[in-house]
Amino acid sequence: MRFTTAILTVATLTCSALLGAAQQGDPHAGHDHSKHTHDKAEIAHAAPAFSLKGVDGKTYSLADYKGKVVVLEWFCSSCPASGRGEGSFWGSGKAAATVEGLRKADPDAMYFAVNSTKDGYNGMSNAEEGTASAEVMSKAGASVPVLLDADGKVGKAYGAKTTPHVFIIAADGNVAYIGAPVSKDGKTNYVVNAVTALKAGKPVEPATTKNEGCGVKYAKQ
Amino acid sequence: MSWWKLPCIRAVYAGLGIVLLGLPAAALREQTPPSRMAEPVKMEVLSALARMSDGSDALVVRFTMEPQWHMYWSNPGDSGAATCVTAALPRGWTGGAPRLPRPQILGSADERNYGYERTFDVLVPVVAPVGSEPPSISVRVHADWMVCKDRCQVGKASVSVEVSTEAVPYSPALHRSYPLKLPPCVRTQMEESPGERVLLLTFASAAIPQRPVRFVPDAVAGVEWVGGTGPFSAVERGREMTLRLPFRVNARDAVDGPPRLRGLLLSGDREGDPAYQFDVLPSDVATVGR
Repeated sequence: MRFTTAILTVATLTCSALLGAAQQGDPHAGHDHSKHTHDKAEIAHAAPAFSLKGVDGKTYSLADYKGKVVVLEWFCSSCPASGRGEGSFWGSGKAAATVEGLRKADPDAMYFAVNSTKDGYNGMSNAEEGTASAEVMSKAGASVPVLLDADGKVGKAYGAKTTPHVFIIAADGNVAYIGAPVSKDGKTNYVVNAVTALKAGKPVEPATTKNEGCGVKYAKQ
Repeated sequence: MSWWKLPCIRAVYAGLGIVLLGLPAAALREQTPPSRMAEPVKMEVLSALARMSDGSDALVVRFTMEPQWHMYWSNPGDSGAATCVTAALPRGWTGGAPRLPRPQILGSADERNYGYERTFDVLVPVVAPVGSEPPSISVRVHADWMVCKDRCQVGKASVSVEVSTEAVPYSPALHRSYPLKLPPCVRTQMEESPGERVLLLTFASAAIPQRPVRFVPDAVAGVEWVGGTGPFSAVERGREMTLRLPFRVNARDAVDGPPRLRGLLLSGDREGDPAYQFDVLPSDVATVGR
């Protein structure tokens, strides 16, 4: 078939701007900065503290990494955007490149995968899902500690909605970036860019991007 | 006698031959070449252009899902991923931005999504070059999507098809599901105070009769709607309805150009109820005092 390639129509369905918890009703109700309580991580505000057990049996606490940049990536091994399949963040090699880029940009920076998948999802406990996560990462060539958040309290404290969903905490303990790990076209690595900027003492731009992926399968509280 | 000459083995060979010959024939009966995709989504390009009520033509890309699965609008909400469609047209033909129908509000208050169940069409407006009236055109359509129920799958498909330019009328019922221009009766204003900006949409209650009236924000880099993913409900006071939409513009996050305030005003929540497209630059909205 003779086909003259004039690509004329492109869907511009790109997304940005992190949007937090859903809310019905008048959105202005309760919107008062003086009374505002942070029910999720916010840029330039202190990151929620956590102390979680890793798949390796160690306990990881945010307080132990004062003065270091910390990257938290919400992860699920069975999510095709996160860990399963060649197109996923980890299956595509983008995650391994991100971890490698992070270590080059700031050797002291820490990268953690957090698994907030509830017990019983896909027939696995959270611990089993965490072990599966570690296997996916090991296979991808970039092992990072996998933290287990079976009750989802840390995930909800951060406002993690999808896998993947990334939160970067600056050395001062404040949240510096929230969003996707890389751009949808894969050309921009937001994590490496953010960590590079933080290392250089520059503002993180963008500080928020639209995250996409599977919804985090939280346990009901 | 060699074992492969046994009658039963010959019968197996014959059966296999029939099956293998039959497969291409079955494929040819499809309206368009079957796309290679992950179940449970089927994507097809309709075999003729569709004629809209305003006289314009569009390429119709139809997605059909298995029951209980859903796909996503351009702002998927708290999770999911936008459905993206691109179309390559012959030289001289021009195409517009793909149009997605009014999304359904899916999920729970904990996880709000905007998307589609069962079936929906993405319309790609097309305009023929002046003086050109070929009976058909060759188009190539590519789409990426995420489809979910209790788990998710990502999918993509590319199809090359010959599409008749003899446009057939598009179903009026389906056409009603595409966002309309915002009625002029909707007054748009901005309240500004240090650290906060509020977009105000005000209109006479009778002007938009179906209830509820809600605003669903689109995802635009650099714009954060305070209160999250929405939807945001209009408040009726007397003969007027008002939507108060606090937002923040983070210019350094606007990686796709000037941040726009974009979304849909949904009137009613039944199939066929209208939706209105809202899309302005903050600087174009008149500011009022608080």
